[in-house]
Formats: sequence, C-alpha cells, structure tokens
Amino acid sequence: MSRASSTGPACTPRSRPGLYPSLTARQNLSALASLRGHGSRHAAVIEDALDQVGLTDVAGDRVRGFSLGMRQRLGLAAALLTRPRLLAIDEPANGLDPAGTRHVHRVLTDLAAEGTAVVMSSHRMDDLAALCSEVTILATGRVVFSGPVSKLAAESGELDYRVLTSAPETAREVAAETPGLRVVRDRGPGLRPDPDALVVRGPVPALDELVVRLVGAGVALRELAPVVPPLEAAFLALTGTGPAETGKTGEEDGR
Amino acid sequence: MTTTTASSQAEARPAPISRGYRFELVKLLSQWRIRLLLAVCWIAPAAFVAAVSVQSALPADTVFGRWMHATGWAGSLVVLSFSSTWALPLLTALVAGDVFAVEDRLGTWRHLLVAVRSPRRIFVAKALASLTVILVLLAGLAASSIAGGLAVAGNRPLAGLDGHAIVPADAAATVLLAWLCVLAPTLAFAAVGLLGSVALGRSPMGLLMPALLAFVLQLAQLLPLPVAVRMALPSHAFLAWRGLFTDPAQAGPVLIGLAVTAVWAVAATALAYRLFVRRDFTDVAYDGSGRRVLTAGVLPLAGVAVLTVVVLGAATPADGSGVVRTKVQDSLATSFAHLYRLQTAELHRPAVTEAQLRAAASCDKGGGRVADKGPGNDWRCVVTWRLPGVTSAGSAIYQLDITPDGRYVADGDGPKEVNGYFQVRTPSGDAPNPLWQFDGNIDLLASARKG
Repeated sequence: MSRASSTGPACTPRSRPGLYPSLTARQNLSALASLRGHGSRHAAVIEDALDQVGLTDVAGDRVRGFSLGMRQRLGLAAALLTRPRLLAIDEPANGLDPAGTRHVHRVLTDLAAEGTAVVMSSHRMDDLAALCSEVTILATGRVVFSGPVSKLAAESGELDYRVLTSAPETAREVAAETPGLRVVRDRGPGLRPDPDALVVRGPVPALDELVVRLVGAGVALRELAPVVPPLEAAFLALTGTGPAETGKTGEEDGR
Repeated sequence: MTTTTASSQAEARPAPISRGYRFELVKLLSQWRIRLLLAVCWIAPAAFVAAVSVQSALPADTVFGRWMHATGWAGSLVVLSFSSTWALPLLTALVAGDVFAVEDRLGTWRHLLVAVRSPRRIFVAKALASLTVILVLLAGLAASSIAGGLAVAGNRPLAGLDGHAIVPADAAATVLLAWLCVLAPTLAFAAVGLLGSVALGRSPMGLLMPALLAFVLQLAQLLPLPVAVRMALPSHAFLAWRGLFTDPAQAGPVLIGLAVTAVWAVAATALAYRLFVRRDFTDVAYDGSGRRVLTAGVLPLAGVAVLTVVVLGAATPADGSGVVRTKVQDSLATSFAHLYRLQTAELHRPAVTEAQLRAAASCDKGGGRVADKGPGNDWRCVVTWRLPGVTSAGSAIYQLDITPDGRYVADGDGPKEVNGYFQVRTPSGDAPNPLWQFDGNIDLLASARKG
C-alpha cells in the first residue's frame, strides 16, 4: 500500500480509522452498513463483526472513551462488514495490548483461511512472522526481497544464538571445542549484556552437536534461541543496515 | 491503522440520500451541543415569557414588550424580536456552520466518501440534516414562547403596531405567520453557515461566518441607509414581520425580505455546493480553501448584495431613508385613534369610532432648522382629534424616537389627562394608560403622499 508521506501531520488522520467519537461502536458500524446498502440483515453482520474483534461488551459505549487499540479493532470490524475479497491493512497491531493483538491476528488468519487476500504493511517483524505467508521488503523505496517467509529466513545466513545453561563456564569451553561453531564475545550494540548467556554463531548441525556435547558434559541446557529473530536478521542483512540502525529503516510489506 | 477493502458485492452505486440524511441526523443529534440547543430552544422561551409576564417591569424597549401583561401573544413576539437579533444567526452558526467542518476535525472525510461514494449526495444529506435541526430549533422557539405566553398572560386580543385590536384567532395566525417570515432569513444565514463550513474547514472562522455576518449587518442597520440598501440586506427580513401587525399589513417589506433572503439562501448554497464538489479530498492536511474563500465565497455574495440593491433601487418608489413627514403623521394619527378607542373603553367612557375622531397629526423634526425627514429622536408631533358633540378639537403632544428601520416609540408629552402616565383598569389587571407610550411602525417602502 502506498504512503502519502512518512513525516509530518499527515500521519495523524491516517492513524484514525474514520470513526465518529460521539456515536457508539454499534452506531458507527450500523451507519456504515446502512450507507453501503447492506439492507435489513445488517444487524446480524454488525454483531458478528463486533464479536470477531472482541468489542461486543463495549458496543453500546461511545467511541470517545475508546483506547487506541479499541479504535483499531473497531476499524477492523468496519472493514469486515463488507465481507472483503481483498483487505489492505496498515500496522494492524499498532497500539494494541497483547490480548488485542491476538484478537486482530485471529481475525486476520480467519479471513485468510476463508479466502480473503490480506495485504498488510508493518514494521513489526513478529507480526509478519506470525501472520504472513509471503513478504516483500522495501528499503529506500526499492524492493529488496519478495517471496515466502521460509525463503527469507534462509537469506540471513548464519545466525547468532543465545545459549543459557546451568554452568556457563563449562558450556563456554564445550562450545569453543565444537567444530564449526564460534563463540561470539560481543552480543552486538543495543542489546543488554548478560554475563550468564553464551552467544555462539554457526550452522544448525553445529548447534545440534553443541547440545549433544553439553548434555554429555553434564551441563543442563535451559535455552537456545536466535539472538535476533530470523526475519529481523534477514531484514537487516537485506537492507544493509546494522542492528544499531534498525529504528530508522524504511518499511516492510508483508503479504 | 488504515484499512482498505474491496467489497465482494461489487456495488458502485452511491448510497441513497435518505440513508445519508439519516446518518447525518444521527451524527448531529449525538452532539451534546445540539442536544443542549434543542433543550434550550424548547424550554427557555416559555420560561422567559412566563417569568417576564409576572414581573411589574416589562421589556418596553422591545416591540410588543409593553403588551406582555395584556396578552399571551405579545410574549412570543418579544421572543421573536430577540431571536431575530441574535439567537437565530447564532443557532444557524452552531448547526450549519459546523456540519462540514466536523468531518475535517475528525479526519473522517475519506471514510465517509468511501461509504457514500458521491460528494453530491453527502452535500445534500448534510444540508438537509442541518436544515431539519434548524427547523426544529425554530419550531421550539415559536411553540415554547407561545405556550409560555398563553399559559401566563392568556389568550386575549393583541394591540397591533398601529394600535388596532387583533382578536385572538387573528393574533394566533399573524404570530405564526411572523415566525414563518423569519424562516427565510434563517435559511439564508444557514446557507452562509454551510458556505463557511465548506470553505474554511477546520478553522473556527467557518463556524463564526453567520454570526459575523449578522453582526456586520446589525451595525449597517444602525446607519441611516437609503431604503433600497436597507431592504437589500438579508437581515432586514428579520424585522419585516413587524409590518404584519398593522392594518393594512405592510406587505411590501415582507415580500421583498422573503425574495432577498431566498436569493441569498440559494446563492450561498450554490457556492458552498460548488466549493464542496471541487474539493480535493485526498489532501488530509486540508485546512480550508484559503484565497478561494474570497473569490468563490465572499465576492459572489457581495455581488448578490450589490445586485439586489440595484434592482430594489430601480423598483421601489421610496427614496432616501424612507422616513418622511407625511408617513410619520399618518402612522401616528392612526395609532392614536386606535389607542384612543382602547383608552375610552378602559376608562368606561362613551364609545367613539376612528371615523368620528378624525385624528390628524402634525409633525416637525428638530425645529425649523432641520429638514422634516429621516430617523431620529427629535421628532415632535401634535395630534388633534374631535369628539362627537364637542366643537373644539382636542390636541396632544408626542415626542417620537424613530429608528432607521422604521420603528418608532411615541412618548406622550401632555396634556397629562390624555397621554400622561396613569394606571387604567384592564381585563388583565392595572396597566399604564395606552396613550402614554406606544410603538409604531412606518412602512419605509410606501410612497410618500404629498401633504
């Protein structure tokens, strides 16, 4: 989807889903349904849409008192009224608490499962990883990647992994001896240092070997996970920006 | 978050106007400001009329104010006078002046356009919805003030602006007609409000347009303008209803007022429509049409004003301020005769008719040095009349304060047995002598009789 501009006051109205604060949630939806000509059956459609985004309890309240997240969800409900074939959606989880995010994610997955094409743009890599089957990454206005999420993860090459164990010192020695694996001293700028965590870099088979060796040495493995999520790492690699500059990268487009 | 959807039903037809209209009404009525206005318009006039009607001091500086004890119909006319000056322009400003701007403030234009799919229909729906609300407000003012007056002062005959008694049934009809007459200028101001709201967007100036226009026109009306210019002002229709309360009714100013305000209403609505359908809705930072307000709003309306002045100047027989000696004399003599009959009845003297009285007035403005025409508070008149069986004519002196809109207050200046201050017994209780002070209205348009 296109953006008129990424700076300036134009952002403010864009973040409003076109709701009237003096009307209740239900009145807002029912007005839209009526204007779009849904006829007599629109009451059921509205209740269904409110239920899908989890706003049934507050449907009779004026939108004036709604939080940003509730407005976002009501905006999504308004989009659902039309039973769309294509839904283009910008920053769906903006301003949502975890529960709200789940609601929105569930609605979007359900829609996709019913055959609606959902195009969303987001800077939240976790949203994209959770929802999208295909992603397009834009950097400074150019497409730098387009394809399935699994292919994107492979683009990033070797990843840094964080290893938490019961005996950090022993684990560090074991890791240093594991072939194909390097112990990374610096966790990278912008990340909180954690003396107990061991950061290693290497291919997946080498990690498997590390786990086997750790267990053999009597060290309990508590956590093994990428330091940076794969999508984010791929994004950073593709856009050529270091982790320190993550905040000011362009935009991503998930599909 | 912004969502854009493509509907599976593939309907490209715009939403019906009735649905858009209903939606606009719901939006208007959900605003606390509109609800408050509705409550005030339906309650406050009744409370005001009832409260004033039981007081000893009456608002005598307002037309019909001094009759509020005598009949319930006067209360409604006092409210009408007051509304015409300030309340109606302000009401239209608060309703019509905001009906488009509110979408700018909320940033909802794009969504409304996507839902309705026709800027024309949005305009019509919004204009009709604000018109409806204004009508309900106006109906509230009328109904409430009439109800309050009738409840407290009763359904009694009303003395017109030439002193003639209007029986209750006729008073009811004329009062309703007067309220209908101010509908036209109200619509003209509402149209100006629509124009301001469309043209100035989020800026509060749009909301102020009708009030500002009313203020400027009020100032203009205080000036001794030529009668053609005065009649061409859309606010004159707010005063023209006074002419309905004379016998015969001064229909000329009323009809001209209706025509002028109709032209203003149509012109301002058309300009607002043109600005609206040409607006670029993709610009979310839109903050009014800026210089186009001047070229597409103010200048055309000024053109309408000039055009009506020219047309009226050519069409009306009266020239100058419209206040000339013969008209003042005729009006005062007529009023005196009517009110003399009333006084006679109240003092239980033998009844006389206007024909027997043969009242005549001789007026002079500002002594010998000043020409006897134009408004001012330095008119001095001597009224003479005859009684059956009495050879010598009676005479009484009046000081007249004539305002530029043709209304005057006659103040009795002796002899005090005729037009001094004393209480008389009336069906509604004790009241001041009707000949002491009374209001009159001169038809500015009437051609002056040579005399």
